[in-house]
Amino acid sequence: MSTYLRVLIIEDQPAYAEFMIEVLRSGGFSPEWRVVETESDYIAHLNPSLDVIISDYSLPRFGGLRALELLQERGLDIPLIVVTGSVAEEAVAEALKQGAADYLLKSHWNRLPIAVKHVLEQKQLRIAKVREEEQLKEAREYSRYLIDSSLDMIISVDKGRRIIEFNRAAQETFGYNKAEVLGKSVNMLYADPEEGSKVHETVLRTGQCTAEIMNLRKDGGTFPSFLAASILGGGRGETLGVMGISREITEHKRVVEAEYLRTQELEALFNIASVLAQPGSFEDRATRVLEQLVKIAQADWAVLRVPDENKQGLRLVAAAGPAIEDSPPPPLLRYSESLLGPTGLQEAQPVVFNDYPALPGASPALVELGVRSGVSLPINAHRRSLGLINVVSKETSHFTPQQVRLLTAIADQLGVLLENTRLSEEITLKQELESRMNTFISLASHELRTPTNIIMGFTELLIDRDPPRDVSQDWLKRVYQSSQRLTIIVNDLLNVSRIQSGKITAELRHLPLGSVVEEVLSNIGLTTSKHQFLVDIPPDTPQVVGDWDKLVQVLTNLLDNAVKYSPQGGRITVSARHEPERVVVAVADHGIGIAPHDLEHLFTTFQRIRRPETVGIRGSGLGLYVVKALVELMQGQVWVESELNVGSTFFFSVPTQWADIVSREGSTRAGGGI
Amino acid sequence: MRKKVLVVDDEEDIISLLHATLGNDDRCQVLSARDGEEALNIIYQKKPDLIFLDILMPKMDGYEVCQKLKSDPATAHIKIIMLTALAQEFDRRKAVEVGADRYFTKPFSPTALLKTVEEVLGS
Repeated sequence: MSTYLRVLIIEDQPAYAEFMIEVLRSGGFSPEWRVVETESDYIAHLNPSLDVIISDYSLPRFGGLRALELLQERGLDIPLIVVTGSVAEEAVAEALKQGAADYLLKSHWNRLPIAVKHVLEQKQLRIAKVREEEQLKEAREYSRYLIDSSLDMIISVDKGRRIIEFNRAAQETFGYNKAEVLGKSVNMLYADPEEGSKVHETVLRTGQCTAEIMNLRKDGGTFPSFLAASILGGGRGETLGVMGISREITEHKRVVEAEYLRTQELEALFNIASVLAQPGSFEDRATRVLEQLVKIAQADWAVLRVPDENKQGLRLVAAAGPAIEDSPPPPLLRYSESLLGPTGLQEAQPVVFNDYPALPGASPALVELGVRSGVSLPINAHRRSLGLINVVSKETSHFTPQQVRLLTAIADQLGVLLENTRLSEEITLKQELESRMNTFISLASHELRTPTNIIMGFTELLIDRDPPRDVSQDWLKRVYQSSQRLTIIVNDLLNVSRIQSGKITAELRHLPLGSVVEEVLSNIGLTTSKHQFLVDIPPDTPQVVGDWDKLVQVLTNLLDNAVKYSPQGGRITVSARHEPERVVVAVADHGIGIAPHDLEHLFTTFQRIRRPETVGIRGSGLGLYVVKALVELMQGQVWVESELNVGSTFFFSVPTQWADIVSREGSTRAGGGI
Repeated sequence: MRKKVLVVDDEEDIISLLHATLGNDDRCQVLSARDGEEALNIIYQKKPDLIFLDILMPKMDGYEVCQKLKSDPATAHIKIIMLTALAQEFDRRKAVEVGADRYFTKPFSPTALLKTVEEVLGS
């Protein structure tokens, strides 16, 4: 198959032209051709659809060089082959220089088809190359457009970490223009260049790296960003450097942190609410609230202090935190040492100390413990100051405003707890007082009125009726027993009242125990005829140190009980044994005994054991309470051994040595008091 | 006719004092009980004319015993004198409510008590 070819031939000899066509035909072409001789003719037939021009180098009025010139003037890309009659090297060189596609000697006509084929191929190559360049240019523009339109920052570096790409988003965010950064070390973009090196190394080692980065702006400001970096690869798979896409996350971080804090806040408030809702002692619950405070603020410890009126300072009520064991906070902080004095406590606002040791008036004790920063949170309820929470850190400027806000909210909760506890204690105390008062009144009514009635009634009858001697003896005995009973009750009541008000004192001196027992028995013995009393005090028993009247009261109460609770009569033994530094006295009966479950309440005020056997046994319920208080006042102990329906033995100890004080204030305060 | 008087009190001494006060002679027979239940048993058996009733007693208190007796036609006529260490206005009113004829607080005077007994029994 022959190739169609449009040919323009510049030649003044038609025979040559025809010969050329013939050669082309034989060379596999199917030419459509025209021969021109003059410049005007040439111009007239020039058109872009021509495949090739074959021109004689020099004609009388026209020539190949001129034809080339005209082609270029018109911007036409048509290959032109120059034909010369002889080897004129200068002419050939000139023609090729002017843009001829090839040249041909008239003596080598057979080369013409090859030359034509060659110039056509060259033109095709030229066209393809131009197209390729255009495509490449387009692609470059497209990627430039992509990179610059991105909202994310795109920054690339070469293997030496010099910046080679810095897109518009990066320019806007960092504040640099391209010229200021291209070719420079990427370190200039990091707040901590060390961090940048790590990212680069990670990418080169693993192919990629994602990280949260702190960046440095041109103006010196910093901002956090999220960076995804990867290998920047060349077309043949070689590594050109590292490219990173990153996004500023200042706002995102703020939202996330706010969300995190809010979650923490809710969790803490929830925990605290559940602590407050649970039963437990106040100290226990306060400690658990403080634990939450420490956790939230990542502090070293937190303490709750309340004003101590007696000691002019703030008393430690509860404490929590990991550092509490190594550096226990002082139990009392004097107002002079406390930055929040009695007046500071009235401040409703929390106070933050960012650099505690630098404050004038900082407590040396607290500085010694390592306190560097802290938050003092006054606790208020109903406009009354209840106390203070100190949350403390060993770091300077540890607390953020959000933490302070959260801590304040929790302190308010603790204020509610404090106030509730105080109110409920007040109510309990009032109720206790009221119930004691009621018990006391009914006790006084019943227990005082009966013996009084006996004394009054029988003496009245004695006066009025003048009965026979055996009757009057019986009545007088009853009067005596009742006055004895009255004495015991009155003494017990007086003692209880003194014990409860803390105003009881003991006049301590050396006493012969035997004499005390003798005095008590001489009274008690007259009140019963059913019992035999046995005294077993070894003669070498040393004198004891005690208060005569108090010992009499203790023994009277114990013996009175022994008589009352052995209604069938029997032997009652008072014995003593010498132990190191004390004498132990025992009062044993063979009575109804005490059940194990009743033993624990035995020494509590106004408690009487209710059993069928105790019905009709008179008693105030005060006796053993008084015994315990008086024995303890004299530095002794009291205890009991008992078996149901066999009998009871009450023991108490009395020291044989002088205590370090002769007379001692009562300390067995039972609260409230009547 | 010899009157029967029942003394109900958990205090042995008070029973003795009432025995001594009332005498145990041809004019008066004194019976005694230590608690409410025992008292009711004796009352239904012996049909006393007058009862001295303590309020604070084991098993059944004086108010309850009084109310039982006064609401039972068989015993409603029995005179009841409350005798107690309780001296509050509230207790006095409650004694009247449950139907007691008189109310005496301890300590009482034997002479005054005897006078009241004569008034109540009308002899």
